[in-house]
Amino acid sequence: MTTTAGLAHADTGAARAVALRVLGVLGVAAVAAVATALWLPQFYTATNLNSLLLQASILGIVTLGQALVLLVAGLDLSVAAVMSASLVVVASLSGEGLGGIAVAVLAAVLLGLGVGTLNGVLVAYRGVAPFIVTLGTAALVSGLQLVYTRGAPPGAIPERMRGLTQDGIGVVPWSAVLCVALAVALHVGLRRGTYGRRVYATGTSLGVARRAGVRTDLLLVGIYALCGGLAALAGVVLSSYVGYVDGAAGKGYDLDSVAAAVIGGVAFTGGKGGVLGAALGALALTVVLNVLVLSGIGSHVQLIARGAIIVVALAFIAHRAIKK
Amino acid sequence: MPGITSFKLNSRLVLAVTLAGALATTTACSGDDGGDGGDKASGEKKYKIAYLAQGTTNSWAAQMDAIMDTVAKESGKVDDLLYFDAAGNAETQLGQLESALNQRPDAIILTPLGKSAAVGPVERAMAQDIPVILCASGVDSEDYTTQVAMNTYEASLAQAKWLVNDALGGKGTIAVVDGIAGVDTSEIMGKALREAVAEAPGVEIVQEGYGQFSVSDSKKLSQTFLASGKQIDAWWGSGGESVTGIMSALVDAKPAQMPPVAGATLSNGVLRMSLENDIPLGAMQFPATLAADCFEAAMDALAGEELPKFIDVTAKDGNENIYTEDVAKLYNEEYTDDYIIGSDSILSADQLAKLNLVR
Repeated sequence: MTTTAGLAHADTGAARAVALRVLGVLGVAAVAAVATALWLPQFYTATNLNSLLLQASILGIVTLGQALVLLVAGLDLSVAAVMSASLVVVASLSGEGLGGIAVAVLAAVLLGLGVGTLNGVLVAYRGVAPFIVTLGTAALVSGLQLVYTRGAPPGAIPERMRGLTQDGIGVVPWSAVLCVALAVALHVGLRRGTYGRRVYATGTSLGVARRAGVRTDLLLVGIYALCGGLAALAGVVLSSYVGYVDGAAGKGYDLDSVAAAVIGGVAFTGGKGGVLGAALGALALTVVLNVLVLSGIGSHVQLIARGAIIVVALAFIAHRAIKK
Repeated sequence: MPGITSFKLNSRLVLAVTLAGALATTTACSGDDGGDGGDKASGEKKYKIAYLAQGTTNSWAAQMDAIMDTVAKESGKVDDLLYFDAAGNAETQLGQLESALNQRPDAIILTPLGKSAAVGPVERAMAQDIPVILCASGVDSEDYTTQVAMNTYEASLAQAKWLVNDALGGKGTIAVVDGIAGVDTSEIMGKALREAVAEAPGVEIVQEGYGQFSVSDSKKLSQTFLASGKQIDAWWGSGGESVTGIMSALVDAKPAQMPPVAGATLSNGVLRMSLENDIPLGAMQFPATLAADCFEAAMDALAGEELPKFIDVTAKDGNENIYTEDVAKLYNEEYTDDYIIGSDSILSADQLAKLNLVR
């Protein structure tokens, strides 16, 4: 009991810090929103907002999983490979019928859960560094995908799936609704009850959490499995968005999800941050890219500006963390 | 019939999972291994050819490999085709080049994954009198036997001029989705377009960005271009993935009239999207049958023929650029989107089916 109370006490401060960080992100976003309205009025067109939310929702879902892993001081570089594999599974297994689509989506999510579980087991029970493990499983998943597809993935993305990203409420696509729902559910899961406290305690200090009675091994496996499952789900949404069987569709989401989570206030060292902030980080990163493209600046300058903005944002966050 | 020997990825990761992944990749790319050791009865000299491939990281490469395998078998001149799968990695290929040299092949056919990395081994091979055929792209050296490739610049320039002069009539705006910054194919294609635009004062590039040779990224970029509210009369995408992303974004946006799109390297999928959605198209070929041309050059070199430094297959029958009026003629609904036009001139229906290219 004493242990749980101690964890609860420590968590109150952490929760306050997270809330402040989220407010900070929202404040910066509000200022940016006003500046953007003045500079790029086309940013607020329905078409652009819809496109923005759609793209942010895909990054957002995979970032939620990445944020969970970062919270336990881990890292998952296999998410991009899982997303691509998920798209291939969807294309291969689903016909146009709803039953087939459901089976394909389930298979994709199970694949993600499986890869995540493998990551978790290797990290938690074998003590291998997450960077190495997940880089390895990324190669494994990509390799198996090539074995299966021989470079040319079979099947097609069913038209019925397109509604997930093509339809929605006003400018808000269903994929964004799904992303928000997942973020809220995970937030509640982390903030209410003991599970979240254990997650934060494990991320803050694995040894202390273990001594406090937290079954860190199982917890880590669960977190990595969840991350894999969310990456697969993001792959399903990506399938709906792309509408084309592209076996490398997930490329880039590994590092983008890490950047989005960290921009959203999740500490690279674990134990700090939250999933809502991470989701906002995904939105912020997508907004930056969107604004750079809308501004019409040259493609080379876009690359420089994108890199510079991410580096400055991360340096600022790191500076604040050191000051604390 | 040649014996086919496959060489595993030289992965630098030590973890078992990584090795498993890498081995899996290689297994996928090893193709038919059922060689019978060569037709000794004919008495002709049989060659040992090292084929250093990109690796089946995409369907073009998979079709290249299958075609190389097929023509080597059908030629009756190859005793052993040493197949090296670089899995799209220039560093892996560098190690494989060294391994290939140790096998003392009669000739090397190399699809270079980097312009500079392969220079050393290529020059060493030449010093050992092993002919080196560069297939599809080049290296930063003049010391090789010949390079067999499409002339990307000329083929792109012709498409760009079609877009600027014919499709736009010399007046209008273009949005550009390039490939990857610094990658030769992307830069050459982009340069060709910009030169054509520079010669047409009425045409302006109003949006541009890198789609990373990814359908997904190219689509995101194109959607943002469309959302910018700028007038876009025509589109240029460097390569098949870029154009597929553009077309996919256009299909979702449902404009009253589809604008012309150019820059594609041709696949059945690009043709399908053009045909189904009435999108005017200009596209160049990047045929997988190039593998057969490379093999033929290797045989010519081994027969002692003097070869030019560059064998341009752009003008070869069937490799010419295609435009809107050719789309219906070339599209084949029996094949999947990944099928590269012309591959069925060498690969059988069974072989195409094994490559997941038949619906």
